[in-house]
Amino acid sequence: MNRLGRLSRRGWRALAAVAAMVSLVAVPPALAHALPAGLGAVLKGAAQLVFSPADLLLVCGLCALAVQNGAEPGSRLRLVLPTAWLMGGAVGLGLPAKLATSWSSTVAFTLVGLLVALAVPLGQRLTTALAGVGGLVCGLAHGSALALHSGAPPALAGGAIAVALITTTLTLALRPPHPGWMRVGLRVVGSWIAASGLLSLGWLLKGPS
Amino acid sequence: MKRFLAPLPLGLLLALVPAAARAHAEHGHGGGFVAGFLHPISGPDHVVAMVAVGLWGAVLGPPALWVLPVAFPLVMAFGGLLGLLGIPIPGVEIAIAVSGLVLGLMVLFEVKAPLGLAALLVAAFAVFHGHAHGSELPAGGDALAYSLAFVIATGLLHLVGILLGETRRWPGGRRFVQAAGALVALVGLFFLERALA
Repeated sequence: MNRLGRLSRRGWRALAAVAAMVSLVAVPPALAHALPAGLGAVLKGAAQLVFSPADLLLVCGLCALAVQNGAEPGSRLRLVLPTAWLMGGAVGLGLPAKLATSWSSTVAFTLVGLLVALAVPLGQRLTTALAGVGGLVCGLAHGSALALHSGAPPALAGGAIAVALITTTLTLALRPPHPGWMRVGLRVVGSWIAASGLLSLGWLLKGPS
Repeated sequence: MKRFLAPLPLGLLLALVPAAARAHAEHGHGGGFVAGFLHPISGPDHVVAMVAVGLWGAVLGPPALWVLPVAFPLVMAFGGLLGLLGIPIPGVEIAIAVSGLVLGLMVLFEVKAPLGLAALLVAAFAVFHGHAHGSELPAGGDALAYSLAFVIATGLLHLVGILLGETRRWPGGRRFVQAAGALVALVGLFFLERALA
């Protein structure tokens, strides 16, 4: 430590250069498909949500919808959405086969995006109910997908924790009252979510070609 | 020491541009986020019209400033849906060129249309733009990532238009925005001539 502390500026620079070169040389292999991430079941469940854009858009859309309807729906969402996700997932773990969810999740986030874009005043109860239904359906789908793999319950918990983290972060960051630009921004984001949902529905209707 | 460090910036730069692995060749596929993002900005007739929507919104001021960019992606996606499903709309290329011409003229002459009329006009043009994109979209790939990137790119083009339009607050900005409108109209006219030829 003392010897390091006594290094001259030139010495530090040389050390930094060597470290930079070593970091360039020692890049890990790409492993495009294998994903031996060593994350463990909990983080794997969280990663599954993060890499499922349809579910992620639904969660983000529900957050935007909740904060548009006031501070209280935002607070309720933080509790309701992860809980419903976990409950739906627990049921899904018992299902014999994976549920096909492309249609339901696409329709769900498209509708939520549309509600955000139009800034429809839904009130506390309806917003919370929507969040509950959305959480249950998505959790059910995730649970049914996880049921086929080992370590399903911790992975499901990981997914619910990820939902809780995203929901908490977004609803706290976007807590009302909103300045004018943020109200507009939320509606723009809602229109983007709904528009990408509409296009995705087109892809689904068209089918693989 | 300096000689020792000299290749470092080049090495770091080269580290940022590795050759793509191309584990999945994208022949005939949507190609995901990047391809979706590049699609709307690859056609100048589309680009000028999208920018013109933002410019006209800035000329009209609030609430048109944000109503037009909110309405456009939604209606454009509906047009894209029709295009994806192969439902034909006549005169798509002509309508796209006319959109550039008309929106450019609106900006050039600072036409203060009522909000409803402006939204209707922009929405009508959006259907044609969406239909053209929808017909061209390749099958397969990551459809959602492609669609999301496509919509975001369109929204960012509107934002460019709005930011350019906001220069009207500065001295000379008004003339600059009008010149931008004239440029858009000229590009629209060029594509209209090509579409009619």
